[in-house]
Amino acid sequence: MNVTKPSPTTESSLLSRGSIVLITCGGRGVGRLFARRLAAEGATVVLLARSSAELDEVAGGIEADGGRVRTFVVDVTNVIVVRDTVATIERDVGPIDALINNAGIFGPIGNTWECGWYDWWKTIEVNLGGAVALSQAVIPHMASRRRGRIVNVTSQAGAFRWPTVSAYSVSKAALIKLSENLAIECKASSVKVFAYHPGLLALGMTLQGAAKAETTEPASAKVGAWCRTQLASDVLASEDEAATKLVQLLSGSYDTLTGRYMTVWDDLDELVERIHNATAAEFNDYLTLRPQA
Amino acid sequence: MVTQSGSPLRGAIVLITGGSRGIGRLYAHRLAAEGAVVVLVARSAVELEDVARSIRAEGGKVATYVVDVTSRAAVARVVGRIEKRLGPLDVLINNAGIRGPIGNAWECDWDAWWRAIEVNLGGAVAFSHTVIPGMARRRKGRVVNIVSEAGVFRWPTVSAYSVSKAALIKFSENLAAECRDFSLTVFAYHPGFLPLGLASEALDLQASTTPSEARVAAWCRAQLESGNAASPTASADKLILLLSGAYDILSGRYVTVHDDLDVLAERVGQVAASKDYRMLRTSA
Repeated sequence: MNVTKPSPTTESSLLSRGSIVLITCGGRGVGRLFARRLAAEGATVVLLARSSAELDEVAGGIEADGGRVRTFVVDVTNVIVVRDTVATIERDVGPIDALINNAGIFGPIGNTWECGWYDWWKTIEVNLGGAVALSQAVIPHMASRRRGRIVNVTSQAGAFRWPTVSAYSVSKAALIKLSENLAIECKASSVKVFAYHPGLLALGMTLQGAAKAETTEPASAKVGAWCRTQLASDVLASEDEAATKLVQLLSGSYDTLTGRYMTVWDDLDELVERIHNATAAEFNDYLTLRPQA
Repeated sequence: MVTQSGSPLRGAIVLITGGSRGIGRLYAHRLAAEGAVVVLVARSAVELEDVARSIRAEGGKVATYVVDVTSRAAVARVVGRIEKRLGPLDVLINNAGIRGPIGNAWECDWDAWWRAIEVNLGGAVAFSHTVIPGMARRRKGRVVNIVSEAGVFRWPTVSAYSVSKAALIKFSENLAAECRDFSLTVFAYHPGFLPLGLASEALDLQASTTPSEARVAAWCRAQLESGNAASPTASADKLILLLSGAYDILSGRYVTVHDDLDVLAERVGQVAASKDYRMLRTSA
């Protein structure tokens, strides 16, 4: 648990003071990490989550550190409530400059056909549906101002695959593809959309996963063991790095990367360089387990 | 159409969702000609009867059932009835799909957008969820998910369709890995741009006053008139090859009508070691 006040980037303020950033599932894990960091950067963070207790705790911490925060209890799968809440935020808090679609659940573990159907589909509804609902509600406002950025928090599970954690993997792959499509649709309105994998962090889902290492159910135990290994390895990302990369994406300096899937390990300057140097053919090259490309 | 007496599909029980029209109907005819017992599910009893009649007229064996693929309970019921009456399923072809709304995602009706996910992804997962336990117990079975290059690239203003197909491709990859220990194979197959089904329905939008709809219709038309179009026969031929068992090494892969399966099979060994997945990722 990160109890120290996060320090803002030492570069010039990457988020103009008073930027309003909406974060879903901002009450815990990665959402909470991002909330605290963006508040330290001077943004007004607006947190959506299902638990008012968690929201109050995060908000209290942010305010104690001198940051600005507002909270709303929302279930992202309730499209009507999402729409109304966004309208309320625009009216009472101010224009939303950035949306971080972070709400997500791990979903069931096990062979797809042995998982509970409802649990499996719920993962798609939350991880993909929630992001779509928020995007549908927020983009019209951003488009009218010709200004805004959306960061969809995805996972390498969506770029690769995670057998026995299929609902999660499929939902994240869908979220990456959504980001690609939205980015192009949003071009005319100058709104940017990024798909961001913050890395494996020692909080939130990875901790939940690691806790499963002790269970007797084989598939869960295997996932748990894998999470534990990740947590103990070099692959583990630092919270500071994960948050810094998000700040960079929101800064406007990397808007060329709109529509792209990025991870905490990527050097954003290098990616921008590659895009400028890529030929048209390379630009459209997609290897998704396709050996024919 | 002559029944292929030596075909490995002879007597195989093959379930095709969305089997009453378009690509589903095309494959139904071809599989019946191969001697398979074709089981078609769709929403329209009238359309199903029409296909069944034409298949029987050609000497093929076919059964039809009405079902909405987005109802998990209805899917369970219909699969139960099918296997009780006809026997265990050998092949599942998840073909049921809709185009979804056209337009910027935030300008589309939520229900229409989400419905494409529910049908194209949900329907396929529901049938897989229902059918695979039996296939796994028997250690015998193949699943083909009908996808689209829309899921590999992107189709702005047809986002629900693109996202649903990308999800179905990823589902195929995960499912195939899970199925390996049970000797089941799963393919994600792009049938090509064919002058039937969703592509031909899209042509109806040419006269639309909505710019994005008219644009999509024009693009579809251009595809169909170009070298990108595939022939229905070639599309069905490739499906038969995938179901033959000769290309099981490609399980979990996205395969298209334009692919030379022998070349792909050879490359599998090379690519397996590569972690390079570039979906607009320049970092790989």
